[in-house]
Amino acid sequence: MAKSISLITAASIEIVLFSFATYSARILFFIANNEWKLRILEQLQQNFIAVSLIINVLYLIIFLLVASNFKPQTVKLWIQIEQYHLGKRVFQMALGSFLAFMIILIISDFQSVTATIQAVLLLIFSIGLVITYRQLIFFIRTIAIQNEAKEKILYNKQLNEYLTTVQQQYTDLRKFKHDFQNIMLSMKPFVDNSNSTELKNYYHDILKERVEMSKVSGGNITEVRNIDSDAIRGLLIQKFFIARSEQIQFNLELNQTHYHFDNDILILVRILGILIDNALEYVQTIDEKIVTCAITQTDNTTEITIDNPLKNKLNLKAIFQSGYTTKDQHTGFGLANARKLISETDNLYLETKIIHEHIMMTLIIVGGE
Amino acid sequence: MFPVYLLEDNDIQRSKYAEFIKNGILINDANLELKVSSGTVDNFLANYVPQEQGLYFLDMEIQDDKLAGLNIAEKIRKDTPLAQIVFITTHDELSLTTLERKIAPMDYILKDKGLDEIKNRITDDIETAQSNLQKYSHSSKNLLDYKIDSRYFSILMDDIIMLYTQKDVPGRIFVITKNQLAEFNGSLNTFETDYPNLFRCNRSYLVNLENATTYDSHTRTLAFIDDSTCEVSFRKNKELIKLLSNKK
Repeated sequence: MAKSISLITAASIEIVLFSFATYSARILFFIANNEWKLRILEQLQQNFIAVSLIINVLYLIIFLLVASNFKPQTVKLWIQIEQYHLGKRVFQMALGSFLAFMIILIISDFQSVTATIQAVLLLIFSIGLVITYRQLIFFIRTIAIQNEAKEKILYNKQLNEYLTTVQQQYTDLRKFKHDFQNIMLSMKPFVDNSNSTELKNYYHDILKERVEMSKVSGGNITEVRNIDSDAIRGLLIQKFFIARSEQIQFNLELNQTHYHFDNDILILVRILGILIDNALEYVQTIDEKIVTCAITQTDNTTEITIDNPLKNKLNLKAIFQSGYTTKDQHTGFGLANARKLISETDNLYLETKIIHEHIMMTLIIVGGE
Repeated sequence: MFPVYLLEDNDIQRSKYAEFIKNGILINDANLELKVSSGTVDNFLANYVPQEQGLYFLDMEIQDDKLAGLNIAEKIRKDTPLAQIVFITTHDELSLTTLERKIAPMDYILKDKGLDEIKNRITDDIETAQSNLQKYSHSSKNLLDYKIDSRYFSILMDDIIMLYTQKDVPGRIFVITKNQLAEFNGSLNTFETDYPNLFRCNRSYLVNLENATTYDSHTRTLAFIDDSTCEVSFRKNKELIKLLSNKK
């Protein structure tokens, strides 16, 4: 889909540029001969074609230079189109305007419309094209905002439901601890009266255990509250629920009280999504179904690590190549896409490490504080 | 003689571990010595010699400070990048991934597994530490350092396979080691000058010949222990053949 959209857009742009190049060439020739007659073009046919082609290339270069300045925006737009599955609509829009343009050209040729009128038609059409493009961006933004709001409501609902269950579990646990303490206390006289040192030692060991029990907490999804970005928090919650529904243990290691994110959140969410999905998909094929996500943040650097057990050997360079996969029925473009997004963003770095039969992918984000 | 440090706040456990460590040193005939055995952070730091290559056994939680062990380990890692750090701790104190990221300890020993297991692990760790420390003390420039923003990273030179650049990501160097693929900003020329033991195969590859396996001089393809390959430029072909024959 992305390729067809690119192709059609490129074709429309090239046709517009080519038409303008031809008109520019005409005007040049007219001015050079100081005579506004089409006959001149016929006489200088060879030169005319060459000149219009050169002008066309010039326009194309100018266009590419201008367009390259908007690369980050374009990448963002693509991500949004993909994320919200707008590919089909965008394609229809692009195809529609392309066909309309072709029809104008063909009919004006058949009807032998004068060059001036055709030029005006083309100009109007080009303006229409620009407006359509702007409208498209606006449209995508609206959908993005709408979807975000929808997702946020869903995340919050899921989070609240989960937090309520966790709360309930804590209450139960506390109740159990309370009972346990009572039982232990009431057992004390029996232990004191007994003359078995083994029993006494055992009893003291259990008392020590009780201290350990007070630490039963942490390492769960409630810690995502410390992340101040809705999108990233939402992503982690969503993945947590997906993992749970597939009987995968999804650990979060968020030991700091506050995590701040403000830049490139859209790209971060996308990369993290790919890395986590990848880890989840992989652990489904092995026995040890555990995925861990750890975030550490210092003044200027944020590190997000996705960790999962690894059973087979990997070539670290190969896994980021397009088409690489460990599964039979999978296309394996995920990691290659993540790699591409990281390469396109200056302040992102990826480190992949295999240690103690685990693979850890760490996304390092510099700046943005 | 390399020092062994032990930090554990429970007296009984500490004396047990000290005994295991002494035994382990004897069994492995290791060039190590239990130098410090502390129950408090203050005592540990009073006896701690910065930048001393050694083996460290640390408990994570010391007297209600849940992160005491981690903080000390961070300090040791900063002072001595190659220090051998082992955590002896209970399971729920651990954030394994964070710990791996921050400290990259040599081993974690879980207390829940029982004294016999702890004893075995300590003995094994002493053996590993002994061979690692021996290895590090031989060559002088055995680390490759790089920086991402303000954070410093070090990689053992022995582990380095290659550094390379990619056309689509200008200004960025990728480094492949035996178990890692990382990236940072820089230029290969600087690294070629700073680390003369690395060989510049072509414009975009700087490789560690220690980890090369085979070289095919017809296709000019150099292969490495992780099965990655790199093309050698025509200009460098002769130099490489000479280097490789000297090596043998």
